[in-house]
Amino acid sequence: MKRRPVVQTICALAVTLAAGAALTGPAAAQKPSGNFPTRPITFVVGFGAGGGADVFARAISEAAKTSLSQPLAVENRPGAGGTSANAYVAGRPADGHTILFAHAGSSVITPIITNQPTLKWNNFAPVARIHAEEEWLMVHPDSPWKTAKDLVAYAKKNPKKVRVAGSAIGGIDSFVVLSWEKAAGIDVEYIPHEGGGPAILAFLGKNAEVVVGNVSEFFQHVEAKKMVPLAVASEKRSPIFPNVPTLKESGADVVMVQWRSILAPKETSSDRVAALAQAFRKAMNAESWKTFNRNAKAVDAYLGPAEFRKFLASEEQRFTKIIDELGLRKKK
Amino acid sequence: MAGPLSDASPEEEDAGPFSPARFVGAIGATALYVAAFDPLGYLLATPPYIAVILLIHGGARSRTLLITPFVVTIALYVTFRFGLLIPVPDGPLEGILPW
Amino acid sequence: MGFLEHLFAGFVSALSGYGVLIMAAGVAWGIVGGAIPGISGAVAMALALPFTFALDAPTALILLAGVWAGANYGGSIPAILMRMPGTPASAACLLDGYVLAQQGKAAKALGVSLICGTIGALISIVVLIALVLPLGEIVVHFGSPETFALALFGLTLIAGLSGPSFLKGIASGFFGLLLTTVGLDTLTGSMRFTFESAELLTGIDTISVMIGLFAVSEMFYLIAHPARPTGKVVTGRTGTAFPNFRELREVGRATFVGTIVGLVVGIMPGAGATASSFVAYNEARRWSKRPELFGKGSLEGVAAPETANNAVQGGDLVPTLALGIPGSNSAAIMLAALLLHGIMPGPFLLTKHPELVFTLFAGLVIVNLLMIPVGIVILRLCLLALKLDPPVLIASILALIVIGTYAGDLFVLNPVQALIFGVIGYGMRIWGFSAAATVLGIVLGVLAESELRRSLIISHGEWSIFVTRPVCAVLLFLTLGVLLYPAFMTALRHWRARRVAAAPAAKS
Repeated sequence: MKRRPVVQTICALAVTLAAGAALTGPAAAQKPSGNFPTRPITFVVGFGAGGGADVFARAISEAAKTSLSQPLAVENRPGAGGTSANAYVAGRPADGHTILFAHAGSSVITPIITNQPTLKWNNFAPVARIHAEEEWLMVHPDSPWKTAKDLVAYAKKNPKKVRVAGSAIGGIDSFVVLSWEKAAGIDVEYIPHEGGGPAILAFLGKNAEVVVGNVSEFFQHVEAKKMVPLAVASEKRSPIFPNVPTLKESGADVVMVQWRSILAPKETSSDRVAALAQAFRKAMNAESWKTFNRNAKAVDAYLGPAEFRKFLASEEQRFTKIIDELGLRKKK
Repeated sequence: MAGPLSDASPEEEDAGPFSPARFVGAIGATALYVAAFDPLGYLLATPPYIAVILLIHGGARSRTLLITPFVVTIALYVTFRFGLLIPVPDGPLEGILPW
Repeated sequence: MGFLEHLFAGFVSALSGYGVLIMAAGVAWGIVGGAIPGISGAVAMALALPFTFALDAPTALILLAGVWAGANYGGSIPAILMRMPGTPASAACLLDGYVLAQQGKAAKALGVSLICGTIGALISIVVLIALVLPLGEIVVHFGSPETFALALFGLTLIAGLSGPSFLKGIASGFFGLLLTTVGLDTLTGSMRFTFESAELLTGIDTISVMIGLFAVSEMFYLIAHPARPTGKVVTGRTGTAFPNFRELREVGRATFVGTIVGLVVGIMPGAGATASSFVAYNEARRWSKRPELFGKGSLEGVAAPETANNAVQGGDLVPTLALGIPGSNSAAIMLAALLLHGIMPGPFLLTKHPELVFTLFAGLVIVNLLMIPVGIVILRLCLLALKLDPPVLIASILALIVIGTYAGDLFVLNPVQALIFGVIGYGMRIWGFSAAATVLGIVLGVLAESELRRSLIISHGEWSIFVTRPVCAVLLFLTLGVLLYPAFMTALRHWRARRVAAAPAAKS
């Protein structure tokens, strides 16, 4: 008779343990993202409302309504080439409810130039790279140069004669031109403007022979026959203008794209980072996002947390080299 | 002395003599308020600030001194936080507030 | 479909459904947002953007148009009532507006701002609708040299803002120019006056500095100089009489000047509502029958800047609609709304989406008309606020300034700047410097410096670019004329006096 209670107890225990394992097992696996997100996620953007970064953030936030249970709320904190937002997010609680917009300028170039390592990408947790826009060089329809090679030949004989309009120094446009100068061995006059728009206006007003920038801003002007594509700073020819060679083909190995991405505070748990990355991956399938990309002529270029981190490291290497060659780093 | 387009205004004829204490007090109070804005959050930092300014300026009835800081703080909070949807810093109250 | 048919359809579309309600809500939001110090029209529009997702594209645009129109007026309310510019574009109207308020004519000033502003906006929109494509062709001819010349022309106003000491006025202006150099320089990537600080990379926040120089300094002044218990200081502001027809006729000339300035400056890329308001103030004074009243409570001094800053609406939309390039931050938000609705702005917007553009045109007209009733309601509410006890009013204004300047960029350094410049502004007042000249220096200094340098890059270093380009040359010639005119007139008078003195001597 004494064995019964013991056996019973052991059986009961076993059943309980088994049941417990069965019940908490899947729940345990779910636990990290099970209760996330629990409130709206703040998407901090280091640029003003209406600009390229802001519009990107709002578009992906809208698309993310299909994949996240909580909405994304865009918060503009412009300043210091986007790094003002970096500083703010670095101080936020790392619970996955604050994320940061990042592109090459705000997360790699500007922090290096201004010597602010705490604002650089590696002080954050990379979440995902989302899309990329090609960088193009455009000339006037009546331009004497039909290819980049023509232009390089002219520029070699006439240093500082060719004027290239683009956005501010420190942005990707300026880096395309600066790298191109170095790679092709030429010296052009770069005219920085406050943004892509003013640069295009200057170009249209014949104040520059060449304009450099995102394809989304140029496309309609090409259609309107006010601009002619000269070269694209990509690995391969672009499907948008397949007859136009790359800068690489013309002899200058310059490959730069305007990629846009998302970071999170450094201590954010990897589960939440993964959950966010997954959500953005899914959002990129939304109809609204596809339309947006189509209009922007941008290409989806998703990279998950681990690959994105590797990509950022390689971008840093690439840009550091150019920055040091050009002596742009701030002297202490 | 009100000259053409200078910053002096007609009311200067009515204004009293300069009081360094009040001037420094106003600046100091504002400086402390701005410094405390982020760490303490808006809801905690503002009522004392308003109260201090009321005291420095003088001429407020005691009932006004008690009510105004809270009424103004809440009115502004509601306008900015819920009307304009601007994330006002909550300081240590973050997470505790039900909204 | 012909042009008029498109326009008619646009009106039908804008007025359909909840259109009027949405536009009125937009206008109200805009006025309130503009009235809040630190929140500009662009910020108010950005805050309304999330609401546009639920709307279709045309409705989104007319909502934003309402916010834009409202903010253009809203900024003048605190400027006139409390010497606190609600938006940078309203800074110029406080020069006379606040003085008028203290003379008991607050409602007259506010009324002029509302009515003349609406007239300016409507005229500029009509010009936009009629001439958007041809204007789109000429806008590209206004480049860096032209903008520099305009900025220089506007800077001649410093002479008028100096008050008794011209030298101190110039110094104040230069101080403003100096302030604009702080931060990351677009043209070279170098950091100027940033003292190793990441925060200073952005440079100064214009609206916070303006609010500091004008409003915070005023508040500190009122606190530090306790008013004698005559009660005069308070009652001076509560006048509720609206401007009558005679007064409106008197500001007609200033309104006309403001409209022209707004139209021209609006089309120029780079120069916006703020620059236009100062240039208009300057020009209105130059052409006024009673220039001596400016600065002492001239209604014209309110009409001109407020008309101008509203009249830039049309000009801002020219490159925006014709080329897809925003003419101002506010226009940029409208483009963003289009992009977020899957519509690509650019040179083909008018031909590919005419119904959208014409609905916007109609919307722009309607929202500016709606401004009058909505504006009057909000105005009366604001006038009520002045009945508060001075200590309560002052404390509330200071609290509002701190959170308001924080709200625009969510940047704690903004209220800090407002505070610092409040102290500086007070000092300037005591020692006879001109905060207005400093603000002018800030507003136009940014333009002048960057466009000058950019012009020289474009011209490969040749200074002749400024005289070989016709528009630029004309503007520079006018600037020179304006500067030399007083000296010329004095010399002429002396010469004439000498001739008269010599004549009788010759006769006898």
